[in-house]
Amino acid sequence: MKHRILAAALLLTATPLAAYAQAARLKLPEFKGLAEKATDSVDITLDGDMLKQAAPFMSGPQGKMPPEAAEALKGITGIYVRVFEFNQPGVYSEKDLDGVRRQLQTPGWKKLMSVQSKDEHVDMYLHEHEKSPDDGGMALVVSEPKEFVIVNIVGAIDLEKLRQLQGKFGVPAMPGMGAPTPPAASAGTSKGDAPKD
Amino acid sequence: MVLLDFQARADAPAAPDRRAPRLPAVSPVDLAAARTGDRTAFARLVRHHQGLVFSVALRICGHRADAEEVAQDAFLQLYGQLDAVADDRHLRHWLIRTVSHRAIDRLRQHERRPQGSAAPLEALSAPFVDDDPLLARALADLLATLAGPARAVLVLRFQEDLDPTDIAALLDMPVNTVKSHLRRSLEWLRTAAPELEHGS
Amino acid sequence: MDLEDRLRRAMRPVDAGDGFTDRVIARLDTETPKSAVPSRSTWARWALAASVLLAVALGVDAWRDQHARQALTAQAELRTRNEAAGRQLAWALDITSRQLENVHRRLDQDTRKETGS
Repeated sequence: MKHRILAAALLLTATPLAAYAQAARLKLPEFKGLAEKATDSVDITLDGDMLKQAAPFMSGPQGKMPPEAAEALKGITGIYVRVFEFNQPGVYSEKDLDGVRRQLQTPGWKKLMSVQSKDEHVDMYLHEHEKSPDDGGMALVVSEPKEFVIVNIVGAIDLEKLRQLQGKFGVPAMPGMGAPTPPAASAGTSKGDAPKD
Repeated sequence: MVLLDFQARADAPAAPDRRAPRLPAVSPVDLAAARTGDRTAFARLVRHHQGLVFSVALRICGHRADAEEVAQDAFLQLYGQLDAVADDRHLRHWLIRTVSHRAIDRLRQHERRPQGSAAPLEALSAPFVDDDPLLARALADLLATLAGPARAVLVLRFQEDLDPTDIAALLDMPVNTVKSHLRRSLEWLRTAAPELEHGS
Repeated sequence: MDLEDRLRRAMRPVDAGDGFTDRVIARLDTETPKSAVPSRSTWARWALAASVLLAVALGVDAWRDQHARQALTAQAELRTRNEAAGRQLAWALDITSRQLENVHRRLDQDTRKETGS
């Protein structure tokens, strides 16, 4: 009986922590109906062992993991990305993303940015990490007439290090979106040419 | 806000082929003869496909000497595996797959060498037919930023007119990755050199 | 001519140069004796069958061999899975970094509007 009480107590104390850690992970719908209509889609779920095993095999132009990526990945325990593209507006609606956006209104999520205009709706939220950095997370929901993007990252995140990964994976950085200048030199000016990795 | 631009449809139907007509298929007789060890017949196979194989190697490796070696290796490998090749169409796919993977590996080897000991890469504009110097330059700049697999996607799409599904199978890559590489590369070209869109 | 047509034109196959075929055949002559036949002859097939029978007859050796092969296959499969996951990870990080860059620019613009700079 004592063991049962102890086990139950442990469960009760463990669950909130576990639940809190998991709260930074969004429950992403399958978007099955939309997948059939999309001209292109991306569905990436990497966490736990799979994420740890994948990291060494992630190569940039140098044939090995860019060191900046290793730094940016430190502390990240899950990465979830969904991208859907359609060939015309009106195939999906904001309602399809309501379920995701509602989760960002729950306790723990803090709005960093929310922009809405005729052609786009961008929401970026951070999840607080009260108990430990591992409880942290980030969610980005971007919708445009013919595409939407959801990015959810769980764990201790360094947003700046993640942002600076642009162009490091052999995919050309967009012209005009070259490597950001180091914070010390940055004066909010526009970026230079795309770097050659 | 500039987000991922999915408007460059990587899987649009291929435009009519305005290049030189393809060579007729290799004779099945030559293929069968080569299987029995007839090196003259094998030489005809090599001659028939050398342009394809060498060009793929050159555009991925970016270096003529490497491309020559990789192309030769692919043919030597073919000689040992002719049994696995059913017909000319299969042969072409076999060669594309083999030379692409070999070229990607060769490029990786170069990139792993410490600075200063790597053979200098030749100007990547060299491998392009140079009656369009503006495009050749832009392509060279683009390819220089791309890793081997992304280069291979571009080459197989525009040199060999393969569709993304075939490219994905040949390079052991998800179809969406192929489409993404194509889309971004076209996007890059259109943004980096907008004048490319306006006439030849 | 649109961009894709121009790309096709620019990427027409180029010639491997004089003597390429001769060099391939020369390497073949050096690295493979002329008597070697690329395809498996009937004789080679019989030899293979005999060696399989021998392995079965030996019993233990065949079992060990098979397990070693299975282990190698499993390793190769795991590596393939991990490589595919590595590519997915690179892609995910690439998408994320671009989106963050866009957000950063937007926030930067908004800040400048507010401060009038």
